[in-house]
Amino acid sequence: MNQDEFEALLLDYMEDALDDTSAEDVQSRLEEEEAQAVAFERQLMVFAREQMETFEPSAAIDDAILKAARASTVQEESLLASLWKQLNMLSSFQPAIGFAMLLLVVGGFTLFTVQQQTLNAPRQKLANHKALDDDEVVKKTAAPLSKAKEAKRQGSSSPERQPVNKPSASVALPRKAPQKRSPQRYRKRPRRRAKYRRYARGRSKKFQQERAVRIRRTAPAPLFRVAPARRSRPRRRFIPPVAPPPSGGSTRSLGLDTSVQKHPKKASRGGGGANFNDAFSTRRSKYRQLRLALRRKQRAKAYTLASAILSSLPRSRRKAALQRIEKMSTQYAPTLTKTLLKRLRPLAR
Amino acid sequence: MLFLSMIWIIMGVGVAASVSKKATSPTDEELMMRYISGDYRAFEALYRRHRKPVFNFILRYVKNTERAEELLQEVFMRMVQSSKKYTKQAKFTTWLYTIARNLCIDTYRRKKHRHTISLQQSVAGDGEDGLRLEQVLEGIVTEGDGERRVFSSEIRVALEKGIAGLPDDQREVFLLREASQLPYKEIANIVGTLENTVKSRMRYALEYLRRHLQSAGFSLEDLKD
Repeated sequence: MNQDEFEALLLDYMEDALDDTSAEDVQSRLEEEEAQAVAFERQLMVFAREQMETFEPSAAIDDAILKAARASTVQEESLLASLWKQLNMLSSFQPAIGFAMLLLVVGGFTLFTVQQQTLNAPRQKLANHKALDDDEVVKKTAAPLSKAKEAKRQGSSSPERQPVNKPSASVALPRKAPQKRSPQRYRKRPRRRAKYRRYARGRSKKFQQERAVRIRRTAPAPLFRVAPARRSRPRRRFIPPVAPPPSGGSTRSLGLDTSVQKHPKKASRGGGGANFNDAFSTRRSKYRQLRLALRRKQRAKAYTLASAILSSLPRSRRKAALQRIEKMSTQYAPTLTKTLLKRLRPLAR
Repeated sequence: MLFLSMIWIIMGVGVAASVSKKATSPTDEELMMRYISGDYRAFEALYRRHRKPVFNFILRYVKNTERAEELLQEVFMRMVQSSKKYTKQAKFTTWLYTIARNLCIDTYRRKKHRHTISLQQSVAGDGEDGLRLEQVLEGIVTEGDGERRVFSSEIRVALEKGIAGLPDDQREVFLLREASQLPYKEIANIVGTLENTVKSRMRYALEYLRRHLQSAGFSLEDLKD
């Protein structure tokens, strides 16, 4: 034991917190003077603990503190909390609540069990019957079966017709007297609900249609009709249609409609002409129409649309557009590609 | 029948558990949690349990009864105010004594800049009955018709004087250990030092008190008597 350990143990020794061996070790190490000092200090601690005067705060302070604490508690607690607290303070409240919970659980379980037993009673009865009958069936059916087998082995062409019964309860059992209560009057076994039936029903088209109708009918009418929000369409500058290619022959030969050259407003007023060349239609829709025309192998329409697309673009972008048209044409109408491109190339220069 | 017997068994177990629970008094931490959840009685119980040791600790720290009472009030008010911050993991006594100690230190610092009230003045100015530390330190109390020696043993007065003369760090350790009887580990938490430091401070305090009592002419036998 070094000095540090000894110092650490000394206080425990003075407080009698050491076991006997350690206490003896400490005691043996103490010199006479030191032992006296330790004994004095030890006694001093005992004296301080037992004899030292204790003081009490005045009653007024106690009252003030408790009052202040109560005030702060009252402020914080709500009405419900206070009610709960008061209930909790009742000595019989907690056991009563516990008992009520217990009753609830046990009662619920009992009811559940009883219900299950009631529901399964006919089934169980039937099962019991079956269990008994099976034994009888084995006994009763064994004899005729063996007879039939023997007859077959003997090779009789027309073996005596024996009732070869399957081991089923209904046939093997001796006929019972008709019961007064018909079996139908027993409570039937509850039908098991089809799994995912609801889900499947919800998925069916008919159900969805019906539901849509139902919702439409039952949905409350709006207080006032709100006009549907209209998307503002960017106004586009009118671009006059492109003149037919110089070397491509007449437009009539290509089957072009002359109405494309009309002003869009006039065209719409006149009612004639195709609307695919409408200057207000976007380029994207023109592409869409072009794709459609190509699919349908409408050469004239495709040419008109393609030329409209090209002419609506600045010259720098026309080449790229022509490539796109070429790609589209190759994909949807490869037979038209060659002619179409031949006529469109001058526009892209 | 089975269910009935089950009910009786469970009820019996429940009653036994509640009886055993009632037999052991709730801990400080449990009371504090109850108080936080709004049970005022829990606070009252806590206060009754700790008012005396905390008051004695504060009183011997500040050496003035009025100031000690004010501080006691402040300690418990702070406890009320910051009760929401209290967590069950923290030991209640550590928390409470830390508040008390911090307040004492604040008071001590403020006191340095103020006029100090003498012990004599404090005794003379108070009309209340009851024992005061100042009177103990004087060894005399005025009661009714005349003066009488309250303490047959002067050793207590000497001890109180010795405690009052201890350095602050040693005094708080001594008081927390001897007056409030807290374990060294908890004292270390309150004071904010290591347990070994607390022990060495205690040793120094004991040494100081021994020398003080010996110089006052008391021997080991006097203490034993």
